[in-house]
Amino acid sequence: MTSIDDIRKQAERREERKTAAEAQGVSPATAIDVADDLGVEGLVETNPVDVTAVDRSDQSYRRLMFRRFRRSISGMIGLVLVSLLFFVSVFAYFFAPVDPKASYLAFSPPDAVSFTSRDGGFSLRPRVYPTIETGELDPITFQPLTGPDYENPIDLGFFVRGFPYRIFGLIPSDIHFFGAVDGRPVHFLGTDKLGRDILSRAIVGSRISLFIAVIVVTITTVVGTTVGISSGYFGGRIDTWVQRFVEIVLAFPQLPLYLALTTLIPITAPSNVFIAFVIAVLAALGWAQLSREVRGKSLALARIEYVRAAMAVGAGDGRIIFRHILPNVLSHVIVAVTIAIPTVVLLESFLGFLGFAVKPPLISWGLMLQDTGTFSVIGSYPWILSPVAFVLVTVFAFNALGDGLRDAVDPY
Amino acid sequence: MLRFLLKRILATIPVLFVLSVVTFSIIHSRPGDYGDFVYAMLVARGSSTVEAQRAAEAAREEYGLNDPLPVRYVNWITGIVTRGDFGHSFYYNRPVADVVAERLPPTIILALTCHILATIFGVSLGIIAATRQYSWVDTLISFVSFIGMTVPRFLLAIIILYILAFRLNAQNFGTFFSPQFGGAPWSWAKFVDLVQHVWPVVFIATFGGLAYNMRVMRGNLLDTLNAQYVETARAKGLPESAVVLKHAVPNALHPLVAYQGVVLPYMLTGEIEVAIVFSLATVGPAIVGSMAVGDIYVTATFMLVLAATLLVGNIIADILLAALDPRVRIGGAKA
Amino acid sequence: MRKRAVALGGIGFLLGASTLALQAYAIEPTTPPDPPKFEAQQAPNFVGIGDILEYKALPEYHEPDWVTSKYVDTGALPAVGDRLPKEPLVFKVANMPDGVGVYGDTMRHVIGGRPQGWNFLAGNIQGWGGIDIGMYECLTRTGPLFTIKADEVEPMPNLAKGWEWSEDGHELTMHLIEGAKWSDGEPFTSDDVMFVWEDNILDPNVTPAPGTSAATFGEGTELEAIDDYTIKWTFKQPFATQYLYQMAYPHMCPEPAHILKEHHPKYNPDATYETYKNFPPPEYMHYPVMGAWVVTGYRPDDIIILRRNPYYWKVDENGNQLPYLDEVIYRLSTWGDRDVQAVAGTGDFSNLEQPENYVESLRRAADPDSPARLAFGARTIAYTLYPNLSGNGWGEPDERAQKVRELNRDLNFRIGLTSAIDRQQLGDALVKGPFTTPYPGGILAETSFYDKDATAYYPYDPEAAKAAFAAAGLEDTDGNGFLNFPEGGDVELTMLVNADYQTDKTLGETIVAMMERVGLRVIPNIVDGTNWNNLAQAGQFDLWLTRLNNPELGTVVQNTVALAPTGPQVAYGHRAGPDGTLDLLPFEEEMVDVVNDFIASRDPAEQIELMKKYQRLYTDNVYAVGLTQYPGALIVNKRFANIPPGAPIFLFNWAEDNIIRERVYVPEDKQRPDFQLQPETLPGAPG
Repeated sequence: MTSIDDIRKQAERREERKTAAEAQGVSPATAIDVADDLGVEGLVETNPVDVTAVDRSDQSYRRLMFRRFRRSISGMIGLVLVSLLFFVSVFAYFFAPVDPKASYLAFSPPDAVSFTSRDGGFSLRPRVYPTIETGELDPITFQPLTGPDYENPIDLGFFVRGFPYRIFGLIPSDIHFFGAVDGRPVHFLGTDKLGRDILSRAIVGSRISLFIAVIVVTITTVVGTTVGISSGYFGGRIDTWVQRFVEIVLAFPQLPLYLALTTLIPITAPSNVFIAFVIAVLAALGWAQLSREVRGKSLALARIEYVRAAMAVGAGDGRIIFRHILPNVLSHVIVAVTIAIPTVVLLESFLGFLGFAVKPPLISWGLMLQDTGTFSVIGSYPWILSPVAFVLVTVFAFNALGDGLRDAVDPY
Repeated sequence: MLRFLLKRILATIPVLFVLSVVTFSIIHSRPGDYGDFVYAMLVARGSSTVEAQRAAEAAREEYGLNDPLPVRYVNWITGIVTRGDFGHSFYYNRPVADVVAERLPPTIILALTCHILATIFGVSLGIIAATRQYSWVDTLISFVSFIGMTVPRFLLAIIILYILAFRLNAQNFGTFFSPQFGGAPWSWAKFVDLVQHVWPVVFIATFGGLAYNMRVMRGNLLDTLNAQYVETARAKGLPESAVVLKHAVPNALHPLVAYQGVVLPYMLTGEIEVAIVFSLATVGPAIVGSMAVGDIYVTATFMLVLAATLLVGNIIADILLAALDPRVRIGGAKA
Repeated sequence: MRKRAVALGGIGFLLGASTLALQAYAIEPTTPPDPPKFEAQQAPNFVGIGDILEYKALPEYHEPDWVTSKYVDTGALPAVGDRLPKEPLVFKVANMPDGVGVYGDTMRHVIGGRPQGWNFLAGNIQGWGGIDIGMYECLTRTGPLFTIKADEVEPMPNLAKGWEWSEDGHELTMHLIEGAKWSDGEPFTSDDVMFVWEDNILDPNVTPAPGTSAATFGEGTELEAIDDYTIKWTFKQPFATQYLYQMAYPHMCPEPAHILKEHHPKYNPDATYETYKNFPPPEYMHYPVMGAWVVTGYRPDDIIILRRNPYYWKVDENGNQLPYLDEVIYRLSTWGDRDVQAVAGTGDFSNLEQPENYVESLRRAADPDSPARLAFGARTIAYTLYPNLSGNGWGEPDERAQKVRELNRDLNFRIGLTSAIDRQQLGDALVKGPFTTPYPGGILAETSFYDKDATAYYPYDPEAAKAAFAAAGLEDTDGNGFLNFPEGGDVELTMLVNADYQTDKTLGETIVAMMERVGLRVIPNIVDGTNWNNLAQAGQFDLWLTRLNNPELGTVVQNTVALAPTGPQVAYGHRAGPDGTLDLLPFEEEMVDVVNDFIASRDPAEQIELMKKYQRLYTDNVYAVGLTQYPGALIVNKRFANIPPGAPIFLFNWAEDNIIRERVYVPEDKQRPDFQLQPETLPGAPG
């Protein structure tokens, strides 16, 4: 007759077998079959390599994940792009060719880059002809005509000296990644209405936009997933009350809330307080939708056989949540995260319209997008629309990364 | 099931009540009211500031804007509960109920059209993409969907408007109908006119909406396609299409079903920017417009309507979820 | 040009906040640059009022053929000669840019407002955009005054065809047009005018839409009817000609007493003021008016249709009863839609005020098959930055704000502000090219009372600005790039900006950047229009960025009192504190005196000199910081004729009044009969 300790030990061993089987890459259902099949027990015990594999099951799971990730092309592209984005963002002033606050010729189109040298031959070192006003007016629109100044070309190079800045706000430097050799301004994406270089502003603006987006998405994901899993897994009264609360949050009218909050912030508040407010508001309402979806999935998952089996065997709630529910919910969460980041960037620009975003002299993509909504920009100065391209690239990068991650995390 | 339904409906009433109090307070938390709008209007039209202030004060007196906030709220709520009177719109000088009743039907029809199109396109594209994972079709669909998600809607709307007005000499855009069709009885010509006026909004809404549906569908379907029971179905010898459509897709739909509950209020106000750019008389611009001029009862009523539709939508979503998944129907605590 | 000498020998060490005389530097204001010329800008033809119109009987009168055949011949209407007054208002052909017109066609407007009801006198608006201008005619008229020679400017006669002052100047006898009828055939008499005065303006329970009160026409003014066509005003102030301007739109525009009296509580015990105000509702058709068009159709959020008034009392010199246009429609959309529809050709008329759209609109209009053309007028749109000059608590400033108010009241600081602004760059940020011109403040350039030599212009000079700030006692003591108060802390100013307009936001952003260059931290408070007005009225700003459509800086003769803080609630940047008193700076008091002298003066030469003095005071002392000035453009559909050149979008009144719409017509070959929604119909019985 087996004692209760024997039963317990048997259950634990059964659990370990199941975990080992999973690490081998079979579905949980198969794993349970495997665990129940006493024949496999012998298999495991006679193979010392597998035993060690059992002990370090977590590591090989991760290694497996990474191997799978490397196979996915879009995932690698995404990883590279996202890393590049963050790198450029951190060293924004290094990569910005011109001082983003300095004013030059307003509404000037992108400078023409040419690869011919002074004597007309092909040269690897590119040159730029700065845009100047020709002094004449367009007879129809009375706009001063602009054209490239062939008299004064600017040579370009890497690691040139330009406007001064501080790395990490501490180390003064004036080296820039790419720009004019003699330090004159170049505008690869043209200038805006105040004559400020768009490329530099976009690069520097990425800092705030990415910062806000990442922080907000982190908060909403963590909160949303936690609430959703708890609500779906535990069910019952907890579920009911939590869902009521989620409903109120979801039904909360976003627009009046944002508008009302804009008036609560004292206008003389320092910028970091302002950004903190922006983040708080964007995050306050953003987690609810994710929690509802996660709850839906958790509800279903909590009732699948192997989970019930795990519960029957006596596995703790935490173990079940982290081992069984979370990984299956994770792919959906990852998809939601990759959708959420661009949503937050776009939301930032929409709120910018309402005056609820970073204010000048700070720079963000949302702020730059505010300038795009006029007919003259669309018709005559389309280079001012370039921040959209930055947003697109960012979104693509995060989406690709998300795809790769999802495929890798997928234990099947 | 009926008990479940009844319990849910009863539970929403206090939620609605709480929301009404909160939104009413939030609307009033900003300085500036309808009187200020009257003042601004008159000063902009050449009145002296003294006269403009006089007119503003008269408006405030007439509309009870000098009463304290709780008094106004109580009056409003009692009006709704006892007489079905949602207040008076200062801007339109008509009962709020009339304004809302006028704006809701076109908004709902437009929203439903956009939503149905977005769901159909999104789900279909998601299925196609998932079943052809990593092929060029998958990549193309993913590319199109993320363009739809990323480009800001207002920008897209303004670009389309610009092209129509400044480049294509289009004559039929802005508002719902051309002048000659506004009051005319329904006819084929009137329908064509309507389509000519609203196609940008439908296009932008569908384009943006399908992206989300497509991504979620694709993601979930990829998961379920690898599930055990799908393997089993294949092993049983079912044709792939039946495997996908009968077994995989319904399970992949869960989060989307949960999403349906939220989508109606989103659709009602989601295309605010586009509707504003194209001057369509729908709910979204009405909310923004009434907030801008301090037409408080219009704003509060629309907010209430939105909250109600959301709660109703959630109930429907829960019912659908229960219908789809028998395990949920048993519901309650874990066994 | 005046030189500011160093330390005017001991005259004024002024205590505390108000400083004026002591400057520790020399700064020379110059005169402003001339506004650049560009061909698209048209100048008006300047004439006298008598060249435009007169009142006389003509030998024969004409009307559209279909009116004769469908209405007169069938007996529904009397003959045109019987419908017109004894001596109708006659527009002279010589003044019409394209000559005598032909009947037909419609003008399609697009507006963003909505009609609340037709009773303008009781407080309901009709949606603006010129509907009420077209429906309600007033005693006098000021819109077309932009084409009147500067020394002949006075209100034009309209329903009041003439007036004379008594010997002592206290009484003004006005003669109304005789024999004119409302659009339903009832006679127009002094009864209608008295109804306006006694039962609307004087009645404390009625507030007309523009906020008109008896005080609008002067304290203690009285009005009585002498006979059916004569009224007499009695003013406390002798020869108070400024009130003649007030008798134009929107204050003295009669509505049919024979319809409204039944609903007024004074004549009908069952009526209340609420029912009176809301009668008639927008659904009420054919409301009798004296204007050229009558409302004959209305669909909420869709359209308002107006058809020609068969009893209109104006004709052209050949006897053709006006208006030429049979129909006017108003599509109910949004204001932003109006510009786009006009450019696209589905709307006929729009005021283009946002410079961000000039380039595209010009390009489109230059296309030969573009349906609309652009007509630029004088530069009557001007943006100003008003510093809050109140030191005694208007706006309940906190400690920081009060310190800023003290700074605002310091002339050195204001000179620093104005010198820090590169107005050329400011204008370029809105639209490049010759449209914008630097605006130092005060009376607008290109208007009749403007004198360039009387205007002090502090050109863009960051070094001078920094010196001025130093003279005001500000230094960057902590080295962070921003100036500090003497007792420590960064100087921070809040600037109130209207979020509803891109132009405002652009200007705000640019000013923030410019101030940063000279070490001043300006924080933009960008709020929506209603909020913006509320905060501005309450004085809760340090700097107020605004574009005022108010006519006083352009016309001077209209709304003159607003030129200076003549009353506790009048000025924009300086109103009374909580105790009700105004703490005016010395130059402000001088400005008030000049303005009051101007109002009292009857000598045009003296008035011109007074305005020069006003301009000197305003600009030397930087009462407000002018920013930029640019023209508005009319977008008019090419098929319309008789649009006077150089019509501004707003000077004395709006463009819909300035172009004299009843004279506008469409030549036969360009007419579009398919645009009319109710062709060949006339308004019916009211109801």
